[in-house]
Amino acid sequence: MCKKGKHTWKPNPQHMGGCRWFTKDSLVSFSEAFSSKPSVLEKSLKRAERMKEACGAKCVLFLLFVLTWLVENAGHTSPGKPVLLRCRSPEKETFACWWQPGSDGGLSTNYSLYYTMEGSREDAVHECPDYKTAGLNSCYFNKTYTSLWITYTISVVAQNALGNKSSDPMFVDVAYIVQPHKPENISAELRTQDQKPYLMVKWDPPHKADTKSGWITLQYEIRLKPEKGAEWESHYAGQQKQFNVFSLHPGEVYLVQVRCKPDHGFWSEWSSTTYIEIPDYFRPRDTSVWILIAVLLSVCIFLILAWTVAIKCNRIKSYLLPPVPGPKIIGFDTQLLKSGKSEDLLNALGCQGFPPTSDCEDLMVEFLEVDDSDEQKLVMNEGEDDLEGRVKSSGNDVDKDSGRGSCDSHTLLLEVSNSSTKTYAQVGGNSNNKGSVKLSRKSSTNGKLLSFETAGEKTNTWPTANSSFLLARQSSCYNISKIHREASSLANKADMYGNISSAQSKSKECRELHSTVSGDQKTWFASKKHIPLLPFKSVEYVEVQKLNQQSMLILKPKTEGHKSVPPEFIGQEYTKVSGVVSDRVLLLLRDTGAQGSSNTQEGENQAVHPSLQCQVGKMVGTFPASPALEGMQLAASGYVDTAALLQSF
Amino acid sequence: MGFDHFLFPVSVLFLVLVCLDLEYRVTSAPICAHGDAGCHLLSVSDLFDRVIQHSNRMHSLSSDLYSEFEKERFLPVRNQLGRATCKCHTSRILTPNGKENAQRTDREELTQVILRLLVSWMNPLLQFHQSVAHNEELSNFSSNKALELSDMVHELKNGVEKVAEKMQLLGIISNSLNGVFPAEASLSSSASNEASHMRDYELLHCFRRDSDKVQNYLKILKCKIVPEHGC
Repeated sequence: MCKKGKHTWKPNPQHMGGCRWFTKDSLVSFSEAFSSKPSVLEKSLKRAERMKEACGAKCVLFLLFVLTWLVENAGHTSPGKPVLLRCRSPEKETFACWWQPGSDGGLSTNYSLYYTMEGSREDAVHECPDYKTAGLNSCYFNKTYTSLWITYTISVVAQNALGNKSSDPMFVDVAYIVQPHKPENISAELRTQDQKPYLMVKWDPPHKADTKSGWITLQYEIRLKPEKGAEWESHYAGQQKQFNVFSLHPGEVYLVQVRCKPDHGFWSEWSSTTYIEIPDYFRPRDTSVWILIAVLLSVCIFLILAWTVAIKCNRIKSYLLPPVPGPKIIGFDTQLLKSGKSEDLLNALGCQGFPPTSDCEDLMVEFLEVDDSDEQKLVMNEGEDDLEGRVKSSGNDVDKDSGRGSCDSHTLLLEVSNSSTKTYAQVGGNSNNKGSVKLSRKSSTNGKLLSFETAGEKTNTWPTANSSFLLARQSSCYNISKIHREASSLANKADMYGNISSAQSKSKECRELHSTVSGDQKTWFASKKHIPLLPFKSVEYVEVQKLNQQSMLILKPKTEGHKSVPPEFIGQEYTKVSGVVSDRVLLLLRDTGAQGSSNTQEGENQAVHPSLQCQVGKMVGTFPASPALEGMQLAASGYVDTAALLQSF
Repeated sequence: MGFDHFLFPVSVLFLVLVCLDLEYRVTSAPICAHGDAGCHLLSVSDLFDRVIQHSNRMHSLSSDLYSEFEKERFLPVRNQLGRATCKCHTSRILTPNGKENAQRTDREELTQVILRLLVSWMNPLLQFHQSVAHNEELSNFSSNKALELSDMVHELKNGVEKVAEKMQLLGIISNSLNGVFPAEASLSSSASNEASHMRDYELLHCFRRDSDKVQNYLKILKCKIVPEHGC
């Protein structure tokens, strides 16, 4: 019966033997239908129960089966739509495409790529010839399948059990999808230009890209950065395969990379990195630092030296430039002169009784005029060369007593010797082209000045010559001194004569006299040096013009050959001064040519060296008579021959 | 007042100078006329460099113009299906489609192909420029570029002809080229009719491709004939 357990079955009116589920309430008893034959009913009920049990199992099983089936096939769909990523050609001869698969729908999906080519028939669909070479989810077209300048229509179809899906098509023209491989063989070389380093980077194009035949033209880009730097420094290199990089920091390691691109296409990937180290070298900027240091050092050294010199100034001066000794006369003490004690000074010199006293004034020579004339070119021409030679040689000698008067200065001498026609000399600051020399001596008891004055055009000297001027000067100087001395000696002691004899002493005295007479530097002294240079033979005469009030003996040289007596002077004769007696007397000789004539009083006054002849012409008539001069015979015009004085020197 | 007096003659002088300046017109003269003595004639290599540069410029210009037309047409998807159906009027001309093919082609034929291409584009581009000029939607930039493109094709064609002449002169290629040109002219006229039916961007698409072909062929030709310089 349709009863199983709590539930009772209800006989299915449609199917005999089938059962339906009933609740207790709505139980239509099956047993009522089968109540006529309880045994059959009972059998069928049992059968139904058994069937019910079997059905349940089946149902359960069926249900279970359905459930599992449902569970299994809940994610299974047709594949998702794949996406074509890109197609690239490395060398414009082949190309490859890559796609991204969509969802696979839980089932194994396979992908296939199909393409059509422009110009071919529309239904001529081809499948990818090579799925492997380019990797997963790729399609590779080799040379035979690649045609340029033709548009490919490419699509990928994903297929699984449930369906398939095709991607959106991609239109590809191989000429425009070129992306080359990286450049190869990158080398970076360090070079220097003008002491600055630069990097020369060289590379090769990717070996597959055919640049040789002109099929592909590549442009390159290089980038570099210091190892610890943050940013890359890029440089566009055009189509060349090398590049010079100048902006480098020494002492760093640089990373270099290169990439390339065709005319119209895509940039390649950056090449592998090349490392190059820039050595830390001596930068040019350092040399300027060294230069600066050197300059500073030299400045310091200079300052130190200057300071040293400043401190030791005097010592250095004395070392480098020995002091020029002042004029010094042996036995002559300037201090005494300064002190004003002339007597002591003169005593030291050995000049006693100098200066002459006033009673000898009338004996004093006032002026000595010396004229130099061009006409008289006498013996001096002969001796000129010697003179010059001697002058020059004398110039080389260094006199110990270096005090010199300007009358024997070198310049004077040379000037005189150089000028051939004019005779002039610069004397003590007075420069005149006129060569006349005026010897003037102002004698006074106070100060005796012997001054040279140049005036006039002609200077008659004894002898006249180019260089005679100086000689004349010297001679006149000497003469002056001689005269002066002799004049003064009249009033002084006689032992002055002793000095006359020697030329040396003579000159010295001349000098000394001059110095005593005047401390003036402007007076000239005949240096003893020059005196011996004058070998005069000729004799000239100086006319003593007058003796003026100031006791000056004015002498005027007489031109040779003239022997003409100025009208004012009458009864002139020539006399030689043989000597000076007791400082007051001028011993004159009668005969000019005679030497050592029979003049009186010459004996004791024969201090005159035989070689020395002091010839003094007749004195001027105005020569005041003095007891000292009694022994002298002076003509109206007196000539003083100074040439003879010089002969011995 | 003094300044005014000064200003007038200066301005007069200035005007005179300006007018004089306008008188002088810059004209281009050939560097070398035929047979000039002491004139430095360009070598084949130089000529090739020039035409290659020119073709490069032409191609880049066509690319710019094409991308601009694409933008202006507001085509959302770049690789639209419509493009695939573009049929260029020069597709009739047989051109080598690969490197090996191009290298296998002999010089004369390659030169011929180049010239054919250029000739066939002369008229269509002119028409294109005219259509662009009349089109108010397009910018002046596009119009100018279109005109420039048309001129460039002319110049390039002349340049390539000169190169061909030079090569024939030097015996690099044979003299078989001369028979080609009349035929080309007729071809181009029919082709140009077709071209007039094309839309602008399709035309530019075709031209861009053809200019790339020309550039490539010229480079191959150059590296075949004068390989020393930059190949």
